[in-house]
Amino acid sequence: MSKLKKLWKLVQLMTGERDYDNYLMHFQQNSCKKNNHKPLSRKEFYAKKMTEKWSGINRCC
Amino acid sequence: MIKKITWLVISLLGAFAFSLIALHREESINSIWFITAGVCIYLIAYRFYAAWVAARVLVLDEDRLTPAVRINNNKDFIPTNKWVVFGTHFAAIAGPGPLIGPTLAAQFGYLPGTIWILIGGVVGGAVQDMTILFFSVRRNGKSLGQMAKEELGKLAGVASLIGTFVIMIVLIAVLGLVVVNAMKHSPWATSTVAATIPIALFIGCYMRFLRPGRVLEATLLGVTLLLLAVYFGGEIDKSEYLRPFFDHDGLFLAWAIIIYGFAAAVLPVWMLLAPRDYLSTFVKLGTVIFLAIAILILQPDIKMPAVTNFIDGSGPIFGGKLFPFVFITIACGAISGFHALISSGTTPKLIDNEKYIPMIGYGGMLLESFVAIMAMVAACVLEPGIFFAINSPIGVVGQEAAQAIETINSWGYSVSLEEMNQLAEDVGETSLFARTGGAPSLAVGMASIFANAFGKHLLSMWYHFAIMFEAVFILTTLDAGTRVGRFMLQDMLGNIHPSLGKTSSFFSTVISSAIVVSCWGYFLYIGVIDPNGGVNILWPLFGIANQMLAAIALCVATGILIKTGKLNFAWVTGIPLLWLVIITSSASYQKIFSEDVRVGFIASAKNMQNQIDTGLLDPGRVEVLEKLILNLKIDTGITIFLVSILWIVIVDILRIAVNYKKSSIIIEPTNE
Repeated sequence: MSKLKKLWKLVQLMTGERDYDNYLMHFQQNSCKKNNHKPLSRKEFYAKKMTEKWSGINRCC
Repeated sequence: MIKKITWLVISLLGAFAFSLIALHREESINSIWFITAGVCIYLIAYRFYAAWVAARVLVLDEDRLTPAVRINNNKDFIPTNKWVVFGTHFAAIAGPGPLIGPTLAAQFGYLPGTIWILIGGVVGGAVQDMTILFFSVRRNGKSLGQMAKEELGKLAGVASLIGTFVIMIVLIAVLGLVVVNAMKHSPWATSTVAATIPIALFIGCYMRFLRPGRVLEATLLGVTLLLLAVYFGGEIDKSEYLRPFFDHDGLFLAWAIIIYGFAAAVLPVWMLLAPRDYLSTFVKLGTVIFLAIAILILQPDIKMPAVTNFIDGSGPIFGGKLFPFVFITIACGAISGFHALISSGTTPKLIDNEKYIPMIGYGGMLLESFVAIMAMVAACVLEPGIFFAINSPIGVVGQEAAQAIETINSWGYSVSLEEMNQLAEDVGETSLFARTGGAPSLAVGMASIFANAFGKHLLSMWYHFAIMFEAVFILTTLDAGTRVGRFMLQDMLGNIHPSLGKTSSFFSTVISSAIVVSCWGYFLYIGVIDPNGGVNILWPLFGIANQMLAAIALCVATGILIKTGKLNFAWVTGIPLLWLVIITSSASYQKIFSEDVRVGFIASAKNMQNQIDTGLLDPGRVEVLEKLILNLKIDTGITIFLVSILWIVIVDILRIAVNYKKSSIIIEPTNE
């Protein structure tokens, strides 16, 4: 069962489903000292990520 | 000890399967040997060669912090799980190329292409991808262009930039052509492909507004809708009323794709490009796994001979001898310069330990090479007569079906009109003649494998599923490519006037998108009006451009090896480099100067001019020929340009080698 869970977690990671949770975790660990900053909302985060992803060469022949 | 025995068994099995493929003649051979040979060779190469290159030549250091760990800015530098990096890397490198190239190269028989895919992949492509990835990781994720500029000089940097742009234009044109040929006068295919646009838009809105970031459920929804689109395409095909709306000739469809391409480049990415990409990645992955399972279950026999007569250069799909054209035709799947852009793009910024570089760089390419082997199998399980009937353009076999059958029979491949009509009916098309570009014959091959493995009566569904599968990610490449072309152009235009370079400016976006779309739109248009099918000209041009970029990438890698005092190991990248220089130079020479009108641009233009000069042609035909002549001149120019760039870079690398030998001082780059 734990193996299935691990696999599911990996699938979520590979598809980017967990990206926002990871971002929040990273944010809390690193930016809590800068008080004025608020983390992006889920919607803002994915919108930003998508723009970044498609501003370079990331698809090939 | 057990490990040693296992590797010995794998080596022997691989050697046996490979020699069986290579030496087998006359009777048909089972496709399972292709899979066996491929898997064994990949395993051996990965376990021994890649590991050796990583340990001795590149000297990976698992204690050294990678840029992802060191910089870790939660933006582009993010330490990421190795499987996730492998997934994004593979999704980025694997496009339609490894499916189309092997299908076209099957005109030489199964053997030449298969050998090149296996050897070229293991010794060339995978080494290129891994070394460039490594050097980029050691240089904070610098791009190929930046590395070329710093290691070889400004010219090499510019060369890689221009090379990328040319590849992009020619690639998009030829891909557009492939889709047009699959859709022309096929209401089923056209309506299914058209339906992918609203589906993508819907998924785009779903992920943007309704459920941001829920990729899996959105994909599941999208894939279900795509399958429904395939099913309802069949219903549209049967409907007297709806059919004419989707029944179009090549020229109409070419214009539709040009307009679509422009819209996709101007619209925000979340609307069309990103959702289409999600769908295409999942459909691609699913189909490739499905195909592998189907081949394993069914173990179909290969009907294509090992080597055909067309190695003499008279092939119907594209003109040109076995050497060098098999190596130009199969770029992706053996070695593809484009991969170097990915290996020096997003991937190096995600890797969290250097020890994963072989798995991601070398392993990713091996998987792509394996996809190419499966495409080769799917093309070669067709009866050769049928394969050539689908893939030969009307310029070679004639407009009429009966005439085409006669021509193909005269080559020694038996196929009858009844057989072709029956097949067309079975797959739900009115005709399969002259559907050039490789996609339809691949779809027929895949459909027959799927149908035999999972249900015979569904052949038409499988065929249109395969067409949809190819079209979806061809269109993704088309969208993404146009966009990249636009960014590159905006970057260049920014030098003329800053306002033109702003990617956020609507005016600049429209102008630069229009320029990029008209560039590839032009080649697409010419490809559609060319009776020789366009593929004959465009695919080799794409191959030459792609291999030239690979040569530049290998120059960069070789240059760095020499500069860091590893001259003794420079052959690792030097040998594939030498081979690429030989094949691109000789292919370019032949494409320009060959006397054969189906190979040489100049000879072909002369031949057309002579036809016009006789004064016997009707004005419409003269007009077409004049356009084709202009195109041939442009193609000549592009080819000369590409080959000159390559040789300038080669001279650069020789200069570096000679300087190094003279001074024998090891020049270490500052940040290595």
